[in-house]
Amino acid sequence: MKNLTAPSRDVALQLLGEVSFEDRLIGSLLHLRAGVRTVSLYSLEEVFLLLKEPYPQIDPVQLENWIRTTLHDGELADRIKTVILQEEGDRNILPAIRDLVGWRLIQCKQVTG
Amino acid sequence: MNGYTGKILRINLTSGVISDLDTSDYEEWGGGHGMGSAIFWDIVLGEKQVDLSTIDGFHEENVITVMTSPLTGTMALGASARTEIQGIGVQSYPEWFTRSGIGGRFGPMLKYAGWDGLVIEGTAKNPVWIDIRDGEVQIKDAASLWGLDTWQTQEKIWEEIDGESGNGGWREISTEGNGTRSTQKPAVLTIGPAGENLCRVAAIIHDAGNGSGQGGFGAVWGSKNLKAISVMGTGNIHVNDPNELMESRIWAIENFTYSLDLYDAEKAKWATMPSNLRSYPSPLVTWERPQEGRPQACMGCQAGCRSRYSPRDGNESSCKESYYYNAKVLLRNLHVAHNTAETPEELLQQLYSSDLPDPQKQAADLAQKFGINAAELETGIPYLRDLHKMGVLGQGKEIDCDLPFDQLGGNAFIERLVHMIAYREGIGDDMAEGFFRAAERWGRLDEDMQTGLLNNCHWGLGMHYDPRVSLEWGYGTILGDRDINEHGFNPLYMIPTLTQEQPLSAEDFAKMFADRMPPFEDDPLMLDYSDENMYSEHICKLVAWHRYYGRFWIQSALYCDFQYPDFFNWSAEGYTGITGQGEQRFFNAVTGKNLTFEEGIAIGKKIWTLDHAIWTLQGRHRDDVHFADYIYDKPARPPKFRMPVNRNGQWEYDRIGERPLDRTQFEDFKTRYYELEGWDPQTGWPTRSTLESLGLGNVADELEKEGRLGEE
Repeated sequence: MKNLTAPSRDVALQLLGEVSFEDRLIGSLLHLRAGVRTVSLYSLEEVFLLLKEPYPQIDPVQLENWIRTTLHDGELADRIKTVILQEEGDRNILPAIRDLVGWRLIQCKQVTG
Repeated sequence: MNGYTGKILRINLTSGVISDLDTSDYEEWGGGHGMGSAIFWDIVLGEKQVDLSTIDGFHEENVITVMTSPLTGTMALGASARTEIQGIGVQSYPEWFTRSGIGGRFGPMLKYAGWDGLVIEGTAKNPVWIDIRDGEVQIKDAASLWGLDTWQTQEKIWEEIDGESGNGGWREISTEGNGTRSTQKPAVLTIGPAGENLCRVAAIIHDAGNGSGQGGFGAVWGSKNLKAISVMGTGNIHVNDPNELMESRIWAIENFTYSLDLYDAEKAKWATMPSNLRSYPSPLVTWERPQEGRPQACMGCQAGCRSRYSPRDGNESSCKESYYYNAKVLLRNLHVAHNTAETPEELLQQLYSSDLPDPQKQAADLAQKFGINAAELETGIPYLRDLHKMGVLGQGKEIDCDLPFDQLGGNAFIERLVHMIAYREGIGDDMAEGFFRAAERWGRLDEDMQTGLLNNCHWGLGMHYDPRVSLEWGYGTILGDRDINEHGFNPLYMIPTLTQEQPLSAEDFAKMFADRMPPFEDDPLMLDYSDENMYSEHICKLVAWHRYYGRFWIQSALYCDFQYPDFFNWSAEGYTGITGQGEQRFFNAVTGKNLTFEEGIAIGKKIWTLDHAIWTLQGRHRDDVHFADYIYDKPARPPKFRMPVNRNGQWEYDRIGERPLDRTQFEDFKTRYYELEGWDPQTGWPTRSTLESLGLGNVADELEKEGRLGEE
């Protein structure tokens, strides 16, 4: 699946879980009318949902580091790093990351049943 | 008095006396906010001789005005339906004299009933509602309405006046049997349980989705035992030149609104941008728009920024109400493991299937029915979740509550939260005070204002646009009384930030705005948002102009902020919007006056200065005018907006953000700003010469009497 190795059940459960307050990631939502809202992100699923919004605001490098060091998913982090290096601008980088994260979540779902 | 009805209804709830004021006594203020501030001044300070530093929003002597403009109820484009509510609010910290607007059809109906506005004084002994049918006005017992939500209340009133649910043909509306008939439902402003229980976050609601949220006026009405005001009008408004008014409307639609014949998806997206005129219905909602929906607009408006749906969830809600419970981000109960998706696209589809319940719409309805300000919930819910994740809030925790965080994103959570606040149950009693005061009660205020965990950075109110980046918004808010919520300059940084190809160079973009900002039109550096310029005299002018325009054209002439000022316009020749041409054209067609755009700005300065005098008498000093600590100590969060900047004489777009404010330099900015306004830079108080130059000598006398007149 998108050349991502299937995670183990333990890793999958961790990726589907929530991190602590201290380990949360901060993103923002920008809306044409309602303005800017800062969002605490406590799980990979929430990252995915943020990236689905029309104008998500998240630092791709911070996200890569968070996935690597907090969620301990080195493979996904490496793939995101590749996207950051290959693509230009958040407008192209963030949708590609969203799809990678989406694939990973589907894998986790399949592994955990 | 073309455009005006000539009378303002005055109701004293303590004595039950109903009288009226002559609108002509206040005509110089234009309408809306200007009239409201002047009436507040005349009654509270002139007649009652109240010491403003001693009363709060809940005090019996607080006076609430509900004002229209000469354009209300006419075909003036984007100015036909706003209503301005003012008085001492209870939401901000401290409780400033403040304002809130509301759309719908209340203002037009009030005009058709023969009234330019309402003045509410005193406190009723028992719950009452006010029944206005043209010139007939009665204060009625509201015992049967007290405890009902806002939708139930309106249905009961419609039933009482119409004799049935209100959907029918012609009905006699006069209680005196004079033959006056109408097909229309009464327009009702009402409070819900939150207002009755004096929640500082309580709103006044009208129809399904119009809300006057800021200021907590719902609670002020609750404190006055005022449940609702209903109005039925069958009259009309005398327009000076009906032909010119209609020609102006057609001219505006043909030249400044979006044509479906030239549909372009990318441009159409921007047609929904606040501060752009819009020709076709474009709901300002954040949820997916279902097929089974139809547009809904304020009376006389071409834009239609709300919808009605099948099923009815989310009817007429827009903007903040549609946004505050953004389940797409908070969703936890629709766990990925419950899906069978094989691709990210399928995953998205399954997570947001239209077959699933839509908590966002139902949350919007809850806020409307219970009468709670959705903007307060928008900052409050993420704060609650962070406190829960920190382990300090939840069942058995330091801040003990039974909020079902495992249902965050679903209906159960928001239903419980709204109920707790509206009825002050458990920590709902704290949250009903607003999240700033709740944090204070929980002993967390200092810490959370330093870290920014609670994102309420000015006057205890939630951040809307970041003052470290959107300077005109943040500075305007802290120099005033509330989140300004005026979107006029958003296109200046939204369009460059979000479009692939810039329609204009940074220089042309800045000049396009500056050219229509009299009397400062020769200074395009007002639109330079760079670090080097952010505390300058140029930014002082930007902030001042925005306040003046807002106070007159938006809040007194009552043009809708979602459409005006219209500087940049995708549909107009050379992208030049209607602002500077349109506002006065409609105003003069209706009133027969010969007001120039700049003269409107000058009236705005006078209104802004009068408001500042009121805040001065409430106790404000320049030392009070500062943001929360985190605004100075931490850089702004993303996004970085692409904004016009001028470096070494060259204009360019640059990404601005991730900068804190500098305390010392912001204090210097304040000094420059007060000097620009002609206010005493040591105190921030208006001076006699400035007040007299604006025709406010009586205001100077009052400030002097109270020892709060600025030094020359």
